Amino acid sequence: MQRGDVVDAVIAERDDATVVVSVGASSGLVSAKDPHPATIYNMVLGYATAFAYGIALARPDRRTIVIDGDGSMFAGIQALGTLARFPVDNLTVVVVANGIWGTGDGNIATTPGSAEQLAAIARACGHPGDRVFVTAKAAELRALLARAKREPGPWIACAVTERSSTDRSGARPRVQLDSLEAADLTRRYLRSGTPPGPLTASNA
Amino acid sequence: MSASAAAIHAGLVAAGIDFCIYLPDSGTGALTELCEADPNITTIVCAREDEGIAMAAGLFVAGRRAVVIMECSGLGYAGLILARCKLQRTPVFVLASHGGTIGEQFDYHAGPIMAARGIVDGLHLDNIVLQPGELHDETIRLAFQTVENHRTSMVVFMPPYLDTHRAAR
Repeated sequence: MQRGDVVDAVIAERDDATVVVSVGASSGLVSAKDPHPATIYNMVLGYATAFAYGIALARPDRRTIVIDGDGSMFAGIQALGTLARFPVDNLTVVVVANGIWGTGDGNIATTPGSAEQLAAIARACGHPGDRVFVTAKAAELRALLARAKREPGPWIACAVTERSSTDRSGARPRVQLDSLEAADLTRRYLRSGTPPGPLTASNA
Repeated sequence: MSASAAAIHAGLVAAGIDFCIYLPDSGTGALTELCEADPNITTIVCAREDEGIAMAAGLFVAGRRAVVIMECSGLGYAGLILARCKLQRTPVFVLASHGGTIGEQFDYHAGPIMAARGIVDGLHLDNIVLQPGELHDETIRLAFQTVENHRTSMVVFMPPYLDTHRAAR
């Protein structure tokens, strides 16, 4: 599975869910493929899951999906423990597990090393085994995300992905909004319940 | 009953706070116990203070009014997420024990206070130190009013001369 397959699966099963994406290549891909207003891009390393967890707590009537990297997930690993202790039904955590840091030449291994290790940590934190998955197949991931729409979570999906050229610094696609613009669109969308429309000079 | 904790809790209630994310600390124990007992405040015990700040930021984006309560040492972890919050104008309201300049009792609190002040000063975050004899409920209510309306984070320090500590059992 490629990183783009993970993003495609999330977009295909997103419907109107809020999405938080960690810093790096996944943010640019989501921005290019599905510029939904309720999207936080490039959340700083280690905080994407915790930030998404806050949104999920605030809006139990809406689903929230976070696309985190394996390095970022491990940097904020304690969020898995808090989430297990105070679970929410409406949060799905998707970890892009390519085993490397997406920086420089993209060839330095991340600490958890494998998707299986991350999944084991999630289970050890107390997440039920039937809510923690490891998959290397895009179709399986999409089926899991579809199931997460029907059955209560939280869900943890560790998506094994191949390394690619977009893992290198400078090669990743860029997000079209800056952090303030994206946060403001998301805030307004979640608070109004209706799309705020395209970002223009008058509402930026 | 801790008078300061009760007044600060009353200020949180007056501000409409509906979520309290905290990491336990003896200096905030009486306050967090009141939040735990309040049916209108959902409490979450986080595992690290910076994680709690990220959660509170998500809560604000989605329309909630959250407070993060911690020992000031936790601010030492939180520079990056507080900077991101400032960048995207997502405010976080933090109540932190210690952080003043008088009334400290132990040398090992000096390091956390140095780290906390470094983060607060370095990021130019609004901050106040609660004083004895103040009307803490009104101070807290007005502090959060600024947080919400300016969309800027604020740290309220609660030094040990306030009786916000959990009573010994």
